[in-house]
Amino acid sequence: MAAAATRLGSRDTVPASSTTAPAIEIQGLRKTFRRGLGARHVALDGLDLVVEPGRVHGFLGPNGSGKTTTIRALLGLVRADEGTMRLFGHQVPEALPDVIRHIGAVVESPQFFPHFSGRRNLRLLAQTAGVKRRRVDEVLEIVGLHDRAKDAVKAYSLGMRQRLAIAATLLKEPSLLILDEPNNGLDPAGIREVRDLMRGLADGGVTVLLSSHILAEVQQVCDSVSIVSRGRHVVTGPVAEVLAAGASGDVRVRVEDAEYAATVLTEAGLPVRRDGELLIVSDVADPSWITQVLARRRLFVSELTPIGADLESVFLDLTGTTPVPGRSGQVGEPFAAGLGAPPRTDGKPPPPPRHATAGPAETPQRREADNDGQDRA
Amino acid sequence: MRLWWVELRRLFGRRFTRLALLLLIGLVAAMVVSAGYGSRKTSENDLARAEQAAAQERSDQRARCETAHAGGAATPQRDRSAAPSPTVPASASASAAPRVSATPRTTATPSTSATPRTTATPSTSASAGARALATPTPASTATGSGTAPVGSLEPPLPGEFDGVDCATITYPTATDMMDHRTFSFRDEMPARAAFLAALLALVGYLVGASYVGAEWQHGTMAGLLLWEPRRVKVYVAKLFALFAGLIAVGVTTYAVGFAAHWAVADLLGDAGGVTRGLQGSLGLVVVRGIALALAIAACGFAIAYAVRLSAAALGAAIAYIVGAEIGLRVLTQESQRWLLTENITAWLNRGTKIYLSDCDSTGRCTEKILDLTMWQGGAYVGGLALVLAVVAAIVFARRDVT
Repeated sequence: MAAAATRLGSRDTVPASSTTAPAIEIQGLRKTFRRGLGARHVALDGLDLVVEPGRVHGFLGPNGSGKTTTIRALLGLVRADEGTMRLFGHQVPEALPDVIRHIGAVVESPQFFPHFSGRRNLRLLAQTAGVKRRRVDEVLEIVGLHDRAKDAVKAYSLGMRQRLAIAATLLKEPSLLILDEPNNGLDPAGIREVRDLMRGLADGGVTVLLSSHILAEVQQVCDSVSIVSRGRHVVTGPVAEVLAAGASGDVRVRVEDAEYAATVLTEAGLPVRRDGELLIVSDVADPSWITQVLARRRLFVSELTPIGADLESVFLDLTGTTPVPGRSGQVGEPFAAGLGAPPRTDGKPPPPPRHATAGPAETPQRREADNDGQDRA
Repeated sequence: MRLWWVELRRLFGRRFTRLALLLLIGLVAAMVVSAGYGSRKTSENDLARAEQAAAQERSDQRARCETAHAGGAATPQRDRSAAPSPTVPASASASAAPRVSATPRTTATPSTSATPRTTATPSTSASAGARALATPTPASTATGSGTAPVGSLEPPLPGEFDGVDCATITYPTATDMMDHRTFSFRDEMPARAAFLAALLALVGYLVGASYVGAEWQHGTMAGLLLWEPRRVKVYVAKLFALFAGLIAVGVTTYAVGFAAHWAVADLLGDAGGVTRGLQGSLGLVVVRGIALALAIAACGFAIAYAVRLSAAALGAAIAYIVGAEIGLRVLTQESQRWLLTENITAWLNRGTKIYLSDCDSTGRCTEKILDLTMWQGGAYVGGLALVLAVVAAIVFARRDVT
């Protein structure tokens, strides 16, 4: 799949007037679903999102946070109540017919006509957009379904359907690929193939928006990431920056006389705690300073490791969904204290997470959330 | 252009569509078999016998008529000069006598009976006060086992020949007195063509509903909108594909049906009398039949599209039949003019009459006739289909696809 991705460079270019614009630009998107007996559910609460072209951008959020609704609104499947959306500078949904041929998308679980073969399903789609017939076999080859192309889709496994869905997105040779949980049902080889495919596409200039819950996957493949929670934007930025913002500033120290070293560091004003034979030193702006302090007392460090955050811990922290022992989590509700009461019906924004300051997507709503968060802190 | 063509290919690629087409083929085959079943050509000898029998029967009717006009007390005597040949079955002779002035309700159901005659036929419906048309009981379908009285005739019933000029009695004819069934393309094909229209409409309704309902259920509608986000265009393309498919199926079905029936008539019945007038008339039946099928298919399509469920169209049809066709018809007679069946009948049969009975407290009833023209029926059915199609398009254009 990865090798074949390099053959995708012949796609149509996005309209020239918009090549410098962000691939996706969303501001203040709001969507409320009305349910029976007047009940309402706020799915999007002023969400902002910017995806620069030519990147693999992770789109993260807990269940019910509004990721799929955002994608649906962007693709014209759901009508937003408020907000503006642009794809390559074109306002959508108004200009969607002009830009849709540059966009390949898999939204949630892939759906095909079950009694038609994989090839026939793709051919029908290809004919809809005037894609050449041979392109169908090309994309089937890319996703590894060529040998099963004659089988009815109802006989496909979930992973095979996922591959077929990805093949469908590639038919148009898109400039923007929107993948909502593309790894669902894929085996490890398939996951790697999809990852390599995305990287290959991005290297060829395709923008990829990847919505996924597999955070390790996102961390590996994405250049930048946006995290949303409860219909609002939380943080956006390059993965490294988001991780740095979520880092604790702790440093792991290994030294021969740990007891004495702890005393020395404590005297120097650093919070220290023991972790077996190791010391964990907190709030260290520059780890080399630990080396200097200990060396003055002739204590020589054999290991000095800044403890970085992984995307999972940052995600859980930012979205307030870190599991709490003894408590069951509910969809749409954070675990963390202070984040529990849904503010959807009173019109007030939800309390922001602790690390909302990271990332470049600074918006009025975001600043408001940050200030609110600082006040609470 | 491209989208509707793709949709057309998908429509015919569907399993349900293929099953429905098989069903249609089976029903047409059954119609053809029924046309040929028990039918045989009429020989010169058959015709001579039937003409003799018919002449005798007319003579008897005139005798009864004259007896009635003369006072009706005496038993009318059979005219020996026009006596039937001994080979004429008595049952045929007896059964052909006009006894009841049945209401000739037009129907789309194919009939093997002869075309109703409108010549001076005695009416027994004196109480109704209307001169209703007599519906003959054809000899070919005679089941009576009674034996005609020899040398005397059944006395006329009170009022049976009121207002009838006995000299103008021209019924029955030789065709009615045949002792076997002969499938006549000329006489029977128009009714069969109308029945075929009803079959096409039924198939169109089911296929139209299933075609879009399944797409909603499989979730492929959202996938399609990722390729063509203009919803009205998608809607129109699908409807157009359904229409195109149905027209193709309808024309083919009629062509095959006509050819097969003509072949049966040529082999086992009467294929004569296919004049230009009949051809034109059948052509118009085909046009009206296919137009009806399109309208009914659009109804099924629209309901399933709006509700996003094939079963909803089926449920709506059942609810309509139970609630309106049965319930409303029983509750208020006047509502009949708004029932689909009456309007469809009017459209297919170039108009229909709805007979309403108005009874007073003494039990005396008068009959009222509502005329429903072909264009009224067509406008009603077409208008209903148009309204449903527009509503479904608006719903589709505005609702979220989740």
